[in-house]
Amino acid sequence: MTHPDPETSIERLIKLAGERDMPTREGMDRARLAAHESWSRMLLEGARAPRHSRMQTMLGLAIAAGLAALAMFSWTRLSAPQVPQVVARIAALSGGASLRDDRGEIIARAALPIHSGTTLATSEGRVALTFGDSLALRIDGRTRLRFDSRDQVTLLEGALYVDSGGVNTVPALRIETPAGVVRHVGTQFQVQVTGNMTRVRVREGRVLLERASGVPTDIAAGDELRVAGEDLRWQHGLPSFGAEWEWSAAIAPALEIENRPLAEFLTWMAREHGWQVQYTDETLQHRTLEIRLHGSLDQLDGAAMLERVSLVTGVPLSTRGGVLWVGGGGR
Amino acid sequence: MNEIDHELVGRLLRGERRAFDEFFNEYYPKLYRFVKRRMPADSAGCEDVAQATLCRALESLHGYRGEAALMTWLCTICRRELSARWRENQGWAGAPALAEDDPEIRAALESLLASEQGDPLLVTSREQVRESILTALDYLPAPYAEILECKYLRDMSITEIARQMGRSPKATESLLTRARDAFREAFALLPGGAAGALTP
Repeated sequence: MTHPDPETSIERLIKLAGERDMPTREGMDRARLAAHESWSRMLLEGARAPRHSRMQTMLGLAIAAGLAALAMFSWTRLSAPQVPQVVARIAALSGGASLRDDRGEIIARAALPIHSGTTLATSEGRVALTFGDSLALRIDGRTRLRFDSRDQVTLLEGALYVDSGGVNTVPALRIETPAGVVRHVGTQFQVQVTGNMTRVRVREGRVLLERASGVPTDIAAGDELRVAGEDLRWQHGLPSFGAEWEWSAAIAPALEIENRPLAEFLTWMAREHGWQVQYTDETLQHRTLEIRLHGSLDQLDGAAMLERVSLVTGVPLSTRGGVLWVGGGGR
Repeated sequence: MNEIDHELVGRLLRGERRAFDEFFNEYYPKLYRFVKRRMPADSAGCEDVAQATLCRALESLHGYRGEAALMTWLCTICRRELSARWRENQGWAGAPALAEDDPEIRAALESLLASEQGDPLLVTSREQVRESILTALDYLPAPYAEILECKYLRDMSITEIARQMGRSPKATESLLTRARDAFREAFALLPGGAAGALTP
């Protein structure tokens, strides 16, 4: 009796089974959106109420051991020079910007890595950055931002916008300002420094301002806090959209739309501009999951993107009062 | 403990977007097929159950201890989703009994330990063999199943597969060898996985 070659047997088996069943593309898209929402919720809730599972306890012990080892290492190597690390990367820029460190100054350009210890300065231009794994930073014109480490920047002057994509990041970004340290929990916000005045305005989620004196100040969505010395001024109930936010959307890297569903484009547009999405009917909402976009939206501003997408998909899109109407409801 | 699964969960808990994509792309189709084998006549329902499973898993990700393979943990959640759905459906007559639901087979698939037993589980039909092949493929890491299908189902050359998977031809050959070994081990554990299963 002869035995078949093992490879031939496997080939016969795989051929016998044929192609495996796959869910529909629409089902995949729907599931991806739902799963992403669940994931974001879990991260936000995890950040608000830390749990103490065995895994985390072990992680805590490991971190404690690591810190002890690090302390010993630092103690024995105090004189060792710090090696700059890549902490961010330029995603897009408009106008002029420069990067300065100990070695000198260079002109900023797209895709350039930014090392710790570098200061980014903009003149009339704006810059969009990726920071770590999941943070998007936007820097307005006439701004100086120093990158201290993988979890800290110092806003020396000007305005900075932060978008964590709706999820909490570990470690959370610390922003040093004259008023103290600004930290966030899964959010969109901007910080502006003008002279000795620091302004923090929150679009989504919440932000903590840790001042040298006093307890941390909690700034929620729709709030704006201006701090100048000991003087604190609040504004509440501010909209998530409008001129105060538009500069950050203007420098946002364009979404790569090739073969992406219309629904994803609409979600992205709404997040960038602080809008709510409203559909005129449920059928149309389902259709936006099926309609696929092709081509590119590079070099277009927000209004032109909406116009282009509306034209090629045949779905009316318009904005009014912070609402992105899908299906003509805004007219 | 499965280090790869544990690392993926750690990255998900840290909020890495890339980890979410890896997790979704690997496990949503597998869960869909897991449900499809139990509800073959209801494709839309299968998508709903697979989606609900992923959402529930992501919301309780802190509960994953890494003691079982991630796929096994997801399947446990999926079985609960299926039970809940079946309870709601008055007309349902009962869950189909599948070999992979047997705790012992599941445990064996988890570890993918080579089985050298001379008396493999009984083969009852050609369809059961096919079922076992598909189950074995879904329990393999995604690149293993992909390379086996590229090579034997789509008749692609090593060069073509290497290009598609973004690997060198040598790394692709090596991956194929590991995939064949893993498949052989997984398949041998299931009904229909006997050496002579395909002999007429």
